[in-house]
Amino acid sequence: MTRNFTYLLAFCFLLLFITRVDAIGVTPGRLPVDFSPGLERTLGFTVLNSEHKELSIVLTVQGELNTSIALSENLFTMHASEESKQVQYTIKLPDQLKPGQHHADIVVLALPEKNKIDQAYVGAAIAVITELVVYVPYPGKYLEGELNVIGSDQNQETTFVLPLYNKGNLDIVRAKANIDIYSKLNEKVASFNTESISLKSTERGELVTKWKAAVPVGTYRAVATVIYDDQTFETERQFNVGNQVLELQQVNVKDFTLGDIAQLEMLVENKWSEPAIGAYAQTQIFDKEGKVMADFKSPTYDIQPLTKANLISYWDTGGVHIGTYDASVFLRFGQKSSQKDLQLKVSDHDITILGLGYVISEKKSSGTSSTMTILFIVIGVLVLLNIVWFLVIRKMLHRST
Amino acid sequence: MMKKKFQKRTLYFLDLFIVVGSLVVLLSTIGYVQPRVIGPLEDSLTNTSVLFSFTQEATLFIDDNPQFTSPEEISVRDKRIVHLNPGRYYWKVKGLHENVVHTLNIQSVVDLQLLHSHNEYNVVNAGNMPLDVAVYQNTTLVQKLVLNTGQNTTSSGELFTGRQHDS
Repeated sequence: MTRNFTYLLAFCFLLLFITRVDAIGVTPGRLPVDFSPGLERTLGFTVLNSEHKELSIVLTVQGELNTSIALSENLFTMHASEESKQVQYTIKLPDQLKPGQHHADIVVLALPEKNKIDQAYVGAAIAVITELVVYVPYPGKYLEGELNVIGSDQNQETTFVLPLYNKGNLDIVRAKANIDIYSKLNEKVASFNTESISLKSTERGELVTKWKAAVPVGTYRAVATVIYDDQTFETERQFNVGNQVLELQQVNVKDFTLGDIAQLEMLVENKWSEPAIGAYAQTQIFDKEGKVMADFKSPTYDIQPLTKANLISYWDTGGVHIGTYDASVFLRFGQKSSQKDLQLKVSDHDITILGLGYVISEKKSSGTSSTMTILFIVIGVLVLLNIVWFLVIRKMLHRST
Repeated sequence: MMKKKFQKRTLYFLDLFIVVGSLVVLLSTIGYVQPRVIGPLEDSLTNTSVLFSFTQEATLFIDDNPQFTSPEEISVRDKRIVHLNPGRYYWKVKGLHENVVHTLNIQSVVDLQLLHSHNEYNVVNAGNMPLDVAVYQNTTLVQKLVLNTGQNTTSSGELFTGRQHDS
């Protein structure tokens, strides 16, 4: 009797801590459409039932272009076995719209569950929105763009990429950019130009140029002045020379047994001239299908400039099989994040880390050339065979006949 | 005369054999050394971790434009997971078929989860884009949240609305 009471108490206690999960998703989150007068088109989106529950869905349209959208259905039920559902809608745009962006929101509302006794709704409702964004070209020439800076290590090549969007209704014959680099003290340390490109109306293009960052490690500002036909605009981006602020140098796993919790010690160097406050490592491990099978974080650390620290993470290997797994380690602090892809070779009593610094890249390059070597050898042998046959053996045979 | 004609014919046959044989061996070798794509087979995905898989080691170029003006160059031994943000991508494999450009469209997913816990809700961004979440109580907007991918926070309300965050 006492034992039964204990079980009942434990069950009630468990019920208190059980959390109910409700979820609703939609894809795409945003759909861009280029305007043309009176455009009629059938589009669609997918409602996702990620928690595999019985869902009552209500669809509504709101926003500036709400009268331009006709949904194929407004109310439907998704069964627990239904992972997703395609919904179609038609748009009929007006003949005229002001230049710029115009929106319509399709709201996908999952109604909360009903109480079985009084049929009243229990809990909160969730809704997700898929947006339709209509882009109307500006009259004349109108160019937009944003400067991006890729890979900026000291004395290495830094790439400046400027994607340009011609949002005007006229073609742009020539667009190019002048990029100035300023130090933290606002001193100009470099200036260079990009090549020029032409862009048709609503077309996207890119200006790309490289610069060798032969400057001290630190924060810099790149200011790009884009000159297109007779107009200009400016875009700027702050960037760091010495891009790898936190660098993962080593991963050690000690006293490991498969099925237990593995302690991963990640040796991280702060290569930056300022402290990395609240830095942590996030590790994602993927299964053979590329799905995330483990996602864990280390505690936060403060890493002083130009010093190294061991970031400790724990991975529960319960249910993990022997094999090699792809993994990504993200080193994060503040808004900064760097990613390192590696592989974990898991055996009964050992985890070997592949791809840190030395192994993968070197082997890859030699591997690629080895296949080409095979091709070159075969071509050489065939050329030789043909020469020997046509110029030597065949002539000899011909002479003898 | 007949013998000479026969020998000439044999020579022509051997010529043909050498040339055709050389071509067959050459094409087979090219086929062998050329990495063939195993995956991704679909050109539209919602998962931002994309598994690239080839029959051989390969060098992959990925860019957001078909001209590959600023491509990311990635070495793939057998297979490799590449993390991409939602958007349209173009990719190709270095080698003889470099002019074959594949497209990959990673759809943005707005996915909102609510975990009921006593009188509050744990609001989770389960999609692949940052979310703007509006919380309503009795049709009045009471809170606005911005949740990064995978981020969660506690809140209370009667209606939670999620939409793709304006970057």
